[in-house]
Amino acid sequence: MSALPSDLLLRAGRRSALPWVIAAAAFLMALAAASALALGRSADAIAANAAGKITVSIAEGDPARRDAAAARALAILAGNKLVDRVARVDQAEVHRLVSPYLGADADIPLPALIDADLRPGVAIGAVRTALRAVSSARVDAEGEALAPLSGLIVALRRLALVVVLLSALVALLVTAMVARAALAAHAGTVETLHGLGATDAQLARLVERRTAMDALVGATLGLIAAGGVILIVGAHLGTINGSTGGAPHLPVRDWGLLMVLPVYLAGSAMMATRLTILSQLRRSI
Amino acid sequence: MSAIVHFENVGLRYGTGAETLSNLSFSLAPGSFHFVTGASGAGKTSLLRLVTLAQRPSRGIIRLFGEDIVTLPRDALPVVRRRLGVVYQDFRLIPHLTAFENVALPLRIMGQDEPTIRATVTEMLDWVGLAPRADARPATLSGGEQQRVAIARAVVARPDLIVADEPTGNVDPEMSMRLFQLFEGLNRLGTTILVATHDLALVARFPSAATMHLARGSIEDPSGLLRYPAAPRRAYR
Ligand SMILES: Nc1ncnc2c1ncn2[C@@H]1O[C@H](COP(=O)(O)OP(=O)(O)OP(=O)(O)O)[C@@H](O)[C@H]1O
Ligand SMILES: [Mg+2]
Repeated sequence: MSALPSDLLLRAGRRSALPWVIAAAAFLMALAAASALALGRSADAIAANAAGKITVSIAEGDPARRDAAAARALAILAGNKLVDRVARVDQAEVHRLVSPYLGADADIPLPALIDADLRPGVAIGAVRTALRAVSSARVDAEGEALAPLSGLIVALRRLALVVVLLSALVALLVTAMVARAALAAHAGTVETLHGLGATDAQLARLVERRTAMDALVGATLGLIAAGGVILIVGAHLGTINGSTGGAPHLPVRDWGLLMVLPVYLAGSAMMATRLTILSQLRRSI
Repeated sequence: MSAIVHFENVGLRYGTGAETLSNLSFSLAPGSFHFVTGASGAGKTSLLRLVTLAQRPSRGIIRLFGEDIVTLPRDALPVVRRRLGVVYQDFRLIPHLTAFENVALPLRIMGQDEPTIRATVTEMLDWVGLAPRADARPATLSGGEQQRVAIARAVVARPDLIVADEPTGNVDPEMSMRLFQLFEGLNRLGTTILVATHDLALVARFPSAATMHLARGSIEDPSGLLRYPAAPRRAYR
């Protein structure tokens, strides 16, 4: 079966701006999707790290009294059922942690630190109550300190998802506009083809194949550009932030998700074209 | 087989004005050859638009090939249209397609295979004397040449009914005779033909054809022959 000439409703060689618009939409979509994926990973990492972790710090000027207080706190925590895995952080390790900020040989009194994991269902307040006997003890939850950061990450992630959806919507609307414009520009041809017995589906096919190709080409270009940006940004963040588990870099699985983007855009552009044309044509006799 | 085209009290109104066509009642028997005559503005093109499903009537009953096309759903119209060959008064050639591709369109729409299309279209262009201009675009053809491409496109798919609106308005008398001989030949093979024309001299040269005269949107049919035609001249294919 021979097809109708493909340039009946979209003239060959006369490119529309569609590939570029789709490229821009795909670029934004890929960046936003990559951000959403990376932010999700960071949020998960922070949540996993912080879940139930508490730190008891005991600030005493005199090392002997500090160690006595730490021993008392350790005994209290070990003796009740509020926490699992309770251990004092080696004082040399505390030194190492603060040395970047205070200098390696700063001679200032450092607090004793005790790390512990709350048992599931235990509130931090219970630990504070239990440690009231040790007046110099201060109980902090890692989650508490990170809560504003977690909230920010969740908000940014939602924003990124909104950008993904809006970009997809823009791509669809532009595609529908291009399809409608093609029909309007060739109203005479459409009428003649109808008169010759062409079906609506045949006419829709003339435009949708080309639109799908335009969308595929545009989306691939957009994705390549976005991929470059993601790699560069990832490399920069890696050098700044190499120590943090939540550094925003994308694993292979997420790259795979991004690769689906052009195919998805081409498919949805094709559907948008078809539906637009069929609904427009239904208005004629 | 009943009439190929059957009109019963058909009226057509564009917008809100008076009816452009009113109380049209006639039947075209299979294999018949009819002229539609009438002054400019009498409604010839409007009548043909109803027959070719380019327009639905405002009232009345229209049956094409026995199908009630007033109530026929949209999706069923293409199948009916493919049994029609239409020559438009303004040709309606697709400007960016060659003469060959314009003539090939009905066959492509019907999904015929490429070798058949090549052979049929080439033969058709030869018949209307345009084989050497097969690759020309409509804009580079003379008015008469464009008209012949339009006629070739209308008959290439061997339709059951050919509807032509002033098909010889732009050609010289000799070519006009040749084109009508083409219509006559197809008519002899069983194709029903309906031609609108001003050219009464031409009508006079085909005494075997019936004439429908339109005046201000109505058919003059004092004998009632158009309404109740005699038995078909030939058996319908
Ligand atoms: N689309 C339209 N909208 C409104 N009025 C129309 C339309 N088409 C035709 N008419 C009017 O209907 C009347 C009949 O027009 P039609 O084209 O059918 O005449 P015709 O007999 O084919 O004339 P001609 O011999 O000049 O081709 C005219 O008065 C015309 O102005
Ligand atoms: Mg006319």
